[in-house]
Amino acid sequence: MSPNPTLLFQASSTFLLIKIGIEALLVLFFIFLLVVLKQLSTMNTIITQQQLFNFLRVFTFLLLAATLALFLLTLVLV
Amino acid sequence: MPDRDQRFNDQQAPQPVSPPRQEGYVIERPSIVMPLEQTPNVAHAKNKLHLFSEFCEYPDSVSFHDQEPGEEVLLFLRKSQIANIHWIVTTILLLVLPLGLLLVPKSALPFLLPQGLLVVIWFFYYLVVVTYAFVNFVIWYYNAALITNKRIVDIDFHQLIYKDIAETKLGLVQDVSYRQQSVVESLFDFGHVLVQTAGTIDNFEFDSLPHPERVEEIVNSLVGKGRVYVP
Repeated sequence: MSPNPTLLFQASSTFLLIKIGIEALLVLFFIFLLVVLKQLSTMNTIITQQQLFNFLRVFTFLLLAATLALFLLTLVLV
Repeated sequence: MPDRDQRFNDQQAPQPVSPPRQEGYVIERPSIVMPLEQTPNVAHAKNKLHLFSEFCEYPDSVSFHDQEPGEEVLLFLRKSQIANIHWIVTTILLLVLPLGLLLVPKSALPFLLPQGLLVVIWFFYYLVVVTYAFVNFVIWYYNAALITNKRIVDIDFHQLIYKDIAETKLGLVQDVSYRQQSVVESLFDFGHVLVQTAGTIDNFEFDSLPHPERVEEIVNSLVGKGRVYVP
């Protein structure tokens, strides 16, 4: 009886590296989105279009929330 | 009969004299046309600026950081939507690309990734693609040009970090020209506008501006070289 290759892979160090890599990427991605949010605020002081700025800011917050959710999902599921 | 006298006096009142026509001047529009600098100080109807506006005359709710009292934004410009085609197409391709992996038979794969890892990778991939589109949109959104009744402001915003704000007084503008150099530009009415300024000040170049002819017409009217339609 041959071992299940998926289970073998899940127990390997490669899998652990992939998991850590994804978590690191998610952290970097979160920081990147914070930079986007900061730049939005900066640009809004240069040229103000208040209502539209609010829309962009809300969308960035949604992306931040999705990234955070994904990070938690990685901890739980993987 | 004071009413009749008053009416008579009104009829005899001198009519306003139209300004003398300038030599070599061509009126392209048959309706009310006058030099912008001679227009009466009336409040113009403001146009609603929406999320995808690329050309807006007399925009409402737009201001900039060192706007002077009495300075009015006459024209708000962004690059034409056509300039966004490349990243929109890239985004669509990136969105459908993983669907191609579903066509690959499972037997062709060396091993199957655990279900949890697959979910996370897919979710992360689409998050990155959506963010790629969003960042490109934000860069387009904040790359704007403003023409006010006192100056021209060019706001360049690249790669999220680099920003360059340049402005020149209308009195320093020497010449305005525009160029449409391809079929696509002529078809969708966008092009390159060059504002030449006096002395050592850098010229202003605006790429992919919508309705370049109208932009040139308005700037020329502001610097006293032409006339503009007043709605």
